[in-house]
Amino acid sequence: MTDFFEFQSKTKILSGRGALLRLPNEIRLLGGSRILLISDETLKKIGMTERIRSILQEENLQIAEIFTDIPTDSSLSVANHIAEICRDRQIDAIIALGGGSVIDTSKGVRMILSQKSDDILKLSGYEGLPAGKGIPLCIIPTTSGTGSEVTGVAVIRDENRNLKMEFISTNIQPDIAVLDPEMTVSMPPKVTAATGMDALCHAVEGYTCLQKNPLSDAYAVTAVRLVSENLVRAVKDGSDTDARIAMANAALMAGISFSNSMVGIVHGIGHALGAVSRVPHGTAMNILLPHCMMYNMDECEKGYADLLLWLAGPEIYAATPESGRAHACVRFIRRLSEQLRAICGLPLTLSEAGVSKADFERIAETSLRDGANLVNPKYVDRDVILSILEKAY
Amino acid sequence: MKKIRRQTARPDRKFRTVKEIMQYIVCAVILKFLYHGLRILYRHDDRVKQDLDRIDRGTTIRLSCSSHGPELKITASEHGIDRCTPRRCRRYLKNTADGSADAKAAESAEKLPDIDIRFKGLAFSFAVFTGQIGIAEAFSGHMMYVNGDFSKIMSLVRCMEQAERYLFPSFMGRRILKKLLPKKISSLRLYASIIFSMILR
Ligand SMILES: [Fe+2]
Repeated sequence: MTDFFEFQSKTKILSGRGALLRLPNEIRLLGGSRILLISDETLKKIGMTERIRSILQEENLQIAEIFTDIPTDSSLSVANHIAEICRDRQIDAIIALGGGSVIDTSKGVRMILSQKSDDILKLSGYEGLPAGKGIPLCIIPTTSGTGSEVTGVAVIRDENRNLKMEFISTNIQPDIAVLDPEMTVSMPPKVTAATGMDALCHAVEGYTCLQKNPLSDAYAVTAVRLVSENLVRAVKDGSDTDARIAMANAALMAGISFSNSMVGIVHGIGHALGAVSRVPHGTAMNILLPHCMMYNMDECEKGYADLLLWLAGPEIYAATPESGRAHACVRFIRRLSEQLRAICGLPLTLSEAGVSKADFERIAETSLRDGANLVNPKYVDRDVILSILEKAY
Repeated sequence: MKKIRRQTARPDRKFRTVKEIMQYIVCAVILKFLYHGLRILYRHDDRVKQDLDRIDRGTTIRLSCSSHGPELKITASEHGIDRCTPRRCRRYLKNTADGSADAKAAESAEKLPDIDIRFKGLAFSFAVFTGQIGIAEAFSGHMMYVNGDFSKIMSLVRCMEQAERYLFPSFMGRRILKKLLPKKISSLRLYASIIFSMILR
């Protein structure tokens, strides 16, 4: 039974320069006419939402409703509220323009509408969601990290209980992902670095977690190579379009990988750090990744050793003795984080990220509720989480 | 066996083979062991107590071995868990002046559980309950699905893994559990307590 695996990635991908111009035709093919655009205030201010509106208008498609008031980390009540309005306005297609929280909110709204539910909380679960009514969901990511544009996972914050709820089902995968460098070129260096490290983390966890399979492995290793070759370039020079496209592809491929093989302890603790101490997701991933890799080392040594080839290239891989490759992989990632801190000030420790030691107990308690820890290759309990937090401080 | 006869009478719930009937019986027995085992461990193992206490009191949970297999419907309580019956549910409902608590309790016991964990087939639950594969592996192998707040079931899953530590011998535990935690009471004592409490009921 252990050789069994499932793999699904149904999202159509439009990637590269000018990808955005192809969006109207795709919407039309999917039968959308009353479109909802979900984005955030910053993107509205810099004219991105207007740009989408004009591209659609050129092809005679109208946006029926725009929401830009999306909180960081998203929120269950906001998703419920938007869905309620969408029902009244008979929305039949959704476009999400933004980062992780905007995308996850849009997945939540689509879930509520397609399941004809009134409360997103009722839809929480793991693989138990039926297909529901088809409402096209198009994602235009403005960061390169979450991979949420292709995943069957939505993480939405429950503001009442101060924890992040996970919705996992292949039925929430978006229909279209548009990766256009025009949308990521204005991303600040620190956000580029943090989201890039999130993508790397997805690839590393995707390559080593319990549901890994030959297909998810193929996506993971290419994502690792693309991050290694392009992240520093994209952080140093945001206008480097080639690096931007490569990072967008890396994030997407890492997303496909982890959506099918799941994530582990880095995300198990990282989600809790976000919920309790409000550490941005990518920053948390950057801080935790090497420490969690060291914890998982005895179970994942072979996987980490393999990844050294894609991170450091064939020369370094061949020159490193087989027994030292896994540790060399962790050191390489640590050096990459140090380089990013030097370039753009991306925090390297929890203290630099403003986390208080007094919150450790609460972070551990929240993390124990996270499903990612269940599918981590190695056992995770409160003491393990606390010791990793101490090391990362 | 009474339950099986009732099931075979339904054309949509027919067991096709003797193997399936055996799997049904084994799963039904182990579910009972699991239920009583968790209640006893709640008193003797602080890790199980802590985890079960994390589930809000009154939360109803259904663990089904398949769409037609045996199932366990429980509610989180001051004993860790209790069977979710009208009598139990009544205790979590405020008594009303018009005496409608009974009806509400019955309805509550029948309603969809807050958390529904279901194996995708009897063969999968049989493999888990006989220690051939671990619970984490069953999740990662897409052998079960969950409807309901996923964060709440993490505690229950950890408890089930703890119970497996006691119910299966160490050589099986090493194969299906990521880590063998020290036992707080002996397996023999747990088995004796389970059988004792099953007889008492
Ligand atoms: Fe992530």
